[in-house]
Amino acid sequence: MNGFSWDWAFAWEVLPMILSAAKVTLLATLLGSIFAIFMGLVFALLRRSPSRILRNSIYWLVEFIRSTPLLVQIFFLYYVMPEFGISMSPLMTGVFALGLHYGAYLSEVFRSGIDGIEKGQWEAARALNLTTIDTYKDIVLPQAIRPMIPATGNYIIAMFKETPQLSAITLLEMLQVAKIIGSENFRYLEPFTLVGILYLVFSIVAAYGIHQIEKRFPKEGFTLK
Amino acid sequence: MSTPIIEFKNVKKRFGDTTIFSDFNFTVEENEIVSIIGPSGSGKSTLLRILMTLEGIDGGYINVAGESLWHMYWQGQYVPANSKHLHKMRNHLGMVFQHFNLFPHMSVKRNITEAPMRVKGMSREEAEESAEKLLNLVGLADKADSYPNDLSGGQKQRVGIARALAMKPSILLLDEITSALDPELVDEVLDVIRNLVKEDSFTMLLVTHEMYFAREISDRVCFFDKGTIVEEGKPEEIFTAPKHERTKAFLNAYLGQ
Repeated sequence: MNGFSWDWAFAWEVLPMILSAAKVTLLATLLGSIFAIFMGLVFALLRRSPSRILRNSIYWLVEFIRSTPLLVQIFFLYYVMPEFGISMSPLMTGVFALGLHYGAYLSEVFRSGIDGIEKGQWEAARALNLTTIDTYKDIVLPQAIRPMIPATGNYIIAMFKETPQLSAITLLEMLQVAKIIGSENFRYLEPFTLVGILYLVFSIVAAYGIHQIEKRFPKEGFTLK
Repeated sequence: MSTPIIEFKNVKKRFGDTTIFSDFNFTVEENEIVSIIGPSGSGKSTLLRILMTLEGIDGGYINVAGESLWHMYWQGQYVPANSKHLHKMRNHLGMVFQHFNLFPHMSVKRNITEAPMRVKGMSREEAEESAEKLLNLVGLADKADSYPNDLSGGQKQRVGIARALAMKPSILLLDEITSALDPELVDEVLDVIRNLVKEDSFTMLLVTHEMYFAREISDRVCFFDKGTIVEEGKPEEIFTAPKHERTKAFLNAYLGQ
């Protein structure tokens, strides 16, 4: 039984391949996060729009995205959208799917962050005749961001841990590469263990980083120029 | 007298099932200082909040500086105001709040320059110069770079006044501006208002529980109860010889006369 004996030489041999696949995983997470934060903000702001139709449509859209599996969304974007003439690389599809899916979750975080701003702040902004855009940009969001950081960070880490789902559309991220290495060499122990350890390390580092960002973020918020 | 600068005509206002104003009429002349006194829940603050467009109305008309506040003339008839119209109308008005509502993430200076820069398109230099003058006026020249949370309540409210004045409103609304302050801090805020009206003419509408201040500063005092003006007149009349029973009861309770 060689399946249970750890082979250091093999582990070192495959590590570079897994590390280079880790770059794909991190890139997908990074781009996915940026897109998710953007979409989350858009959803959150549209949910506060004066138009009831718009508010309700966004509510149902967000519910729909949150209540269907990420994998279904990934497949849909990758296999169905080309029929409508929209085809993207596996990476871009992944970024789009992750961003949309987690954007739906983040919109709730952002919404409650915005709701947490005192009514008096909105009223002062209106009394000073600031436009809605300036009110969000200068008054509300700068104060709302700090309380949003922990939950946003958790979702980004969750997104990172879901990137293996992108292997289903042939993206060569860490797990997919580990699987290929395993099947080529008939040894799965080392590649999968390495992938697990890398996920653990990245998650811990990210959690620490998020905590640091939160700690250093000005308590009252910040002022734009 | 000339046309009033503020005019409420048959104004109706409800919050859910509670009627605040059923048929409210009220006018303020230009450069008149009017104090509104009365028990809480009588609609005093709502009156100011409607003028500042923080609350809508359910009926009637309001004119500010000769133009309808909550309506606009469009294709030959009055229709509810759109945000552009409200934006224009708000330029006439400034408000100081009971709980200050300063922006805690901005320096004192930035609290004051934010709106002139964003709304009036003033340059930073211009806005800061004017902020400096205003901070001098309210006696806080040395606090320009402080943050609201480092200030006392009285200082916060003086910043609140400076911030409202920075937009050069022709009508200043003061909503119980000393109610949230410790008693020993009330005077420093009221002194600012005293100086203000000494140096410049303002149309000022204040809701207050400071009876002596109301008496001293106002051209007219209105006693409010249950959404109507029960009694109004010159401060001496209201405070020394109130005619209405409810006014008497209120002043007795308040001043312990």
